[in-house]
Amino acid sequence: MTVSEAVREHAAEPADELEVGTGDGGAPARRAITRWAWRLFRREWRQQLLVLALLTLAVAATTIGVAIASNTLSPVDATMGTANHRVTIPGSDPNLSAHIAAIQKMFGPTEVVAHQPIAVAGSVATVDLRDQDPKGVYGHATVRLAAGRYPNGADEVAVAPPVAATFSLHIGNVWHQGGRDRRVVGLVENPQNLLDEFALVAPGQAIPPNEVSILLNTTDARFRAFHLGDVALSVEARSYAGQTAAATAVLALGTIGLLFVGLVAVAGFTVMAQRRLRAMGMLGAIGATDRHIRLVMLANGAVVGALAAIVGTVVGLLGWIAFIPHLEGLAGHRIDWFHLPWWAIAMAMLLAFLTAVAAAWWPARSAARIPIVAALSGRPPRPQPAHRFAAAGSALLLVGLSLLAFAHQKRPPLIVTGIVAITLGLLFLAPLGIAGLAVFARRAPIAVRLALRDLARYQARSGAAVAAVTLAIGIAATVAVSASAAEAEAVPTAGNLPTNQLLVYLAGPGPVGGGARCPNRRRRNSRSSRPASINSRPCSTPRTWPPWMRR
Amino acid sequence: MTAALELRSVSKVYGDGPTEVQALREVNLSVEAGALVAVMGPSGSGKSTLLTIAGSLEDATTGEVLVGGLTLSGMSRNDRARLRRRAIGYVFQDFNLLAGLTAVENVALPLELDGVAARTAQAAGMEALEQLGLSDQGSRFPDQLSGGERQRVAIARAVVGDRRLLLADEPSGALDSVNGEAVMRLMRAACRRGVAGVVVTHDAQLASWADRVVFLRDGRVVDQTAPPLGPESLLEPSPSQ
Ligand SMILES: Nc1ncnc2c1ncn2[C@@H]1O[C@H](COP(=O)(O)OP(=O)(O)OP(=O)(O)O)[C@@H](O)[C@H]1O
Ligand SMILES: [Mg+2]
Repeated sequence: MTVSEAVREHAAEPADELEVGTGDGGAPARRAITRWAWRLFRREWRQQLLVLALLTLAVAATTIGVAIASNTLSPVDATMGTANHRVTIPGSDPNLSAHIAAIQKMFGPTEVVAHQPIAVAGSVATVDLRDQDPKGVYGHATVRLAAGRYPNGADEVAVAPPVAATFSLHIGNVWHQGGRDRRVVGLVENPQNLLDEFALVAPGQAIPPNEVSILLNTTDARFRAFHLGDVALSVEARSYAGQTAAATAVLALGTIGLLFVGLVAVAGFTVMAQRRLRAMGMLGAIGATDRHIRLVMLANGAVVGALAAIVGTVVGLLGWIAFIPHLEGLAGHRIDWFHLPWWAIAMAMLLAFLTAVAAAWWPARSAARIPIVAALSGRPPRPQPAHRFAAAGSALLLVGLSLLAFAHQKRPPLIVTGIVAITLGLLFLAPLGIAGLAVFARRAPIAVRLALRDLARYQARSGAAVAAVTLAIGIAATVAVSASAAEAEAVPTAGNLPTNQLLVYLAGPGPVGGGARCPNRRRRNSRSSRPASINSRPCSTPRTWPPWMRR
Repeated sequence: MTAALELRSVSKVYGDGPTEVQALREVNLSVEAGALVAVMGPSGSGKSTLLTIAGSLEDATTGEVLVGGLTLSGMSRNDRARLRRRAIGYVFQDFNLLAGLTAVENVALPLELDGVAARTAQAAGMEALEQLGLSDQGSRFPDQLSGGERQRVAIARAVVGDRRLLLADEPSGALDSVNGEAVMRLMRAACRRGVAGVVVTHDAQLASWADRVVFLRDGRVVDQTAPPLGPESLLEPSPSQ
């Protein structure tokens, strides 16, 4: 059978009468179209560089953003390691061993860490002398050997860098402390809190312990069902809420950024579609369906989106890895580059991909609607009457603004939905604005007239561009307005003192208002969900100077 | 036997009110399988419009168009697309091939769009190219081909598979006389294999390759005659001789 015969057989038509079925070519057709779209992309990727770069940038920024957001917050308790619960029993408990045994029996693998405080002369802070197995099931994540070795014998110790600095210790020195001499054999650090002031001793050497903590993994419900007589237990459970919330907030910001990029992409893809108009007309003339023609642009969008998602993530991860050393210093704990909210990064990639495909959808749809003859002669689609979309645009704008108003700058879902609605509203309203501008064209000088006519003629791309510019200005304005509003509302509470220092003001004679104002201010602080630690600081206002400062 | 193409009282009006243009008026035309018809007429007389309506790229304002016995009016957009890729081949004056696809991929595209697997389609495309003496050009991209070669590839694409109707709008308009003749010879050869052809041309010399010449003026068919004896009549004795 020759090839022609095979083709004829495939067509399966009687020789004389034509029969036209309803199929649209199935997978081979889609493959052919996708192949062509891919070849076109390879030929014309330079013309899509702006869209590619913006999308890549958005993904990279989101990746770095979520990485920083979820790694900057110190783990809720930096000495909990990989455990999710920590039970602390006072060392004075007469049945200490029995209670530890009961907990171990109930919860399976546990890890016991004994603590003894060491006073630091001239400071309220203490150094924690810690008896802990550096390879413990849960605690191994909280101890890392920086130099030397771990302590073995009764008179050996390894100290954390802050302790070494405080007591001017080096490996090989002997540390006279608490009536005992211990040789410093190593430098250790707590990767989860570089400021953790502790000294590690060999098992059983922190005697008598001031308190004993037991690390374990269990569910909250199971723990609540457990009772241990009348001993004063202190229980802490780990929560990941803060990190997840931070990553979610960054992802929400990333979504808004992608929205802006999406509008630019609509304009870019529209230009691209117009440049390909004749080719698409030709495709239609040789028998492509509307769906095939849409696929040309959608496949292009998908390629751009996928490429930007991959390159953006790689660039973001490389940037993240390069930034880790700086961030460790800032955050005060070691950072594992792989410890990332991968779900958020996957979401960012997916969103970038969807943004590109969605941005290509509109030009794809209009390209498929252009009559083939018009496409073949390169005539752009006739602009839609502007007023047709104006009502929908106004409604969306109103909905978006009300959502933002209801969000009170606090509820990311409402904020994101509001901004999406506003963007769509602006997109629909843009043609009206452009049509309004075009009215002035007649009296304008020739250059302006040409520009305005062109703007009106290529409505799709100019509308998207106008909406993108408006959104960018809108975001900037919103940030500026809400930042100044927040600043006006905020009360200067915290100074710039480190956490272990206190500033004490002595009230002198005269009406010093600090004390009277405090309760009021505390209430406002707690409402604005600031860290509780601020409340522990003394209230101060610039006007309540201490007496020695007053003239 | 049904005609491969039949136009019954076809009229086409563009625009309305003061901008109204009557591009075609009550045109009747029938083209049998194996016949090559040339359409001539002054600029703006409606030749291209006739072709786009016959090829289902545009709707007639009134009248009926039948391709292979099927009425185009009332056919869905998808069915028309399918008709085009199965039965109708187009050749335009320029810009016929899709950049980014090689010559053979261009020729095979209508088959692939119709669901033929890429390998089979490209083998059929290669066969069509070979018939037109372009077997060496299959893997070249359009911008690596000369104008004449491009038009020949376009003809190969227009007849690949089992096409019955070949519509060409000034296919040799951008070519020199030698290449123009070559294009007409290929169209003639396709018609001899049973394809019905309609070719728009301004060149009486090229029109003489056709079996019949239709003259249009202001959208009306003013004359249908056998062409003057042309070059081909020298190659083969016609039945009347
Ligand atoms: N899309 C359109 N809108 C309005 N008028 C059109 C359109 N297409 C064609 N016309 C008009 O219809 C008439 C016939 O046009 P057509 O293109 O068929 O002429 P033609 O015979 O092919 O001319 P030429 O030899 O110059 O190619 C012309 O008057 C043209 O201006
Ligand atoms: Mg014409």
